[in-house]
Amino acid sequence: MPHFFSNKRLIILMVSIIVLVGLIGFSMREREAVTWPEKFVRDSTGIVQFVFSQPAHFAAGFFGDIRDHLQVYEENQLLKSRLDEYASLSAELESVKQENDTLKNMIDADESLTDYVMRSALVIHRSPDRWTETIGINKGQQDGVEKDMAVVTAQGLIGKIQTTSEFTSTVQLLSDGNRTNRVSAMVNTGEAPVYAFIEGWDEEREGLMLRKIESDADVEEGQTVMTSGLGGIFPRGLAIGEITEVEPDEYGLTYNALVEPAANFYNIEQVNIIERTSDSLDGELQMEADDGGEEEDEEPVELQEEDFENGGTP
Amino acid sequence: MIRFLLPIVVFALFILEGTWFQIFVPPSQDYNYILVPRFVLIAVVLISIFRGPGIGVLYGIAGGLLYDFVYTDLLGIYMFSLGFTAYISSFTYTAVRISYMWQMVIIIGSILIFEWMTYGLYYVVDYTDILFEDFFMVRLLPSWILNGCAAILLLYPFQKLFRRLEDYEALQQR
Repeated sequence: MPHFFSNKRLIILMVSIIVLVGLIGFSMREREAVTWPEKFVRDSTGIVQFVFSQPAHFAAGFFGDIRDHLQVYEENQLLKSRLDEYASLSAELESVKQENDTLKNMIDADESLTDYVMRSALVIHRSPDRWTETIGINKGQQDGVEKDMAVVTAQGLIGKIQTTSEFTSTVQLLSDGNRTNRVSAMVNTGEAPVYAFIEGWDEEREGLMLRKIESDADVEEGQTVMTSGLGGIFPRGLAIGEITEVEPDEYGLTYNALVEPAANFYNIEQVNIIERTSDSLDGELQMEADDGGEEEDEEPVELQEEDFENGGTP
Repeated sequence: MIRFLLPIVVFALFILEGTWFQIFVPPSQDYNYILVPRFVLIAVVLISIFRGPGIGVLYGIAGGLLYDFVYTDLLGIYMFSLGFTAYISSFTYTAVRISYMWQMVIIIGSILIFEWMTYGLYYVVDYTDILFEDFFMVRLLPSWILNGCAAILLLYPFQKLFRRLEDYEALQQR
C-alpha cells in the first residue's frame, strides 16, 4: 500500500470522519419521519425486494409443507383431543359476546379500546446485521400505515411500526434492544388486571422483560400478558405471551417477570398491522388509566408522553 | 450492456443479504451464534482489487449508503466502514490479481476490519453492549466461516466478469 498515508489521503480521511460523525448525529436524534432520499431509496428497493421475496417465500413454504406433512399424524391426534374443548368454548364465547353487547348498550358505550382495523402485509426483508431487530413490510403511508401502530402475527404481538415511507415500512420487533422500545401491558390475574411495561429482550434467558409490576399484585407463572391499550396507540387485548418467571427487581420495590412471547419473532412471512379506531379512553377505563398512569408519569417515554396528553387526562 | 452488469450484480447481492438469506436461513434462538451475510463486502473488496481503489471506494460508499438507508435507521456507519474497507483492501498488484490465495487472505482480513469497525461504531453510539469476547465468538467467527465460503463461490465468477469488462474496455479504446 504505497499510496496509503500521503497528505491528501489523510485530509480526505479526516473529512469523511467528520461527515460520519455529522450523519450519525443527524440520525441519532428522535426523528419524526425519515428524509425524502431515504424514502425514495426504500421505496424503490422495496419493489425489488417484494419481487424477490415472493418466489423465496414460496420455495421456503414448500419445504416447510414437506416437514409439516411428516408430522401430520401426531398433530391430528392432538387436535382431535382439543376439538371437544373447542366446541364448548365457542358456545361460551358466543353467549359472553351477546351479554357483552347488551351490557354495552345499557351504558351507551359504542366504542372500546379493543376496536381496531387490520391490514395485512408481506415481509420483504429483515435487517441482516442483527444489531437491530427490524423487518421491512410492503405497506406504507399510501396504505394508511403510520408510525407506532401495532404489528401482530396470528399468534400475537410482534412489534410496532418504526418508520414509514410511501410504499414500505419498518417494524421494530419486541426483541429489539433499543431503550425506547416499550409497550404498556397488562397481566390477566383472574381479578383486576395488573398493569406493567414490556421493556426489551433478556438475552441470557431469552424472553421479554415485564417490568414495574406493583409489589402487591398477584402475578404468577403461567398467567397471560396482553397489551393494555393505555399507551394510546395499541388496542387492548393483543396477546403478548405467558409469564415464565417472577422475581423482585434490584430495589425490591416492584416485581419483574420474564415473558415467553406467544409469537415467533423469527421466520415471519406475513404480518397484520393494527390501527386502533377509538381515540380516547372512556368511562371506567379512563379511571383505570389514571391509576396505572401514576408511575408512568415518573418516567416519561416519548411514546407514552404524547399519548397521555390527549388520552390520559379527564 | 456489460457496463451495467457490475452494479446489477452488487445490487442483487444486496437483495440476497436482506431478503433471500433471511428467508432460507431464518435466524433462530436455538444456536448461540449470529450469521451475518456480507456478500456486498466481498464484491466491493474484489472490485477494489481488480478495478482500482477509486471505483472500489465508490462502490463501497454507494453500497454502504444503500445499506444504511434500507436496513438501519442510523446513517453513515456502513457508508464509512464499507468505503474505508474498500480503500485499504485495494491491493492492485498483478501477483494478487492472479492468485486466488491472496484474494482470499485479503477478503478474510477485510471481513475482520469491517466487522470490527461496525461493532466498534455501534458500541460507541450505544446500540449494543456486548463485550469483545462475545463479539468474537458470536459474530466474527461465524461471519468468517460463512462469508469465506461465499467468497470461494464468488471468486471465479467475479474474475470472469472483470476479465470481460477489461476486454470490453480495451475494445472501446481502439
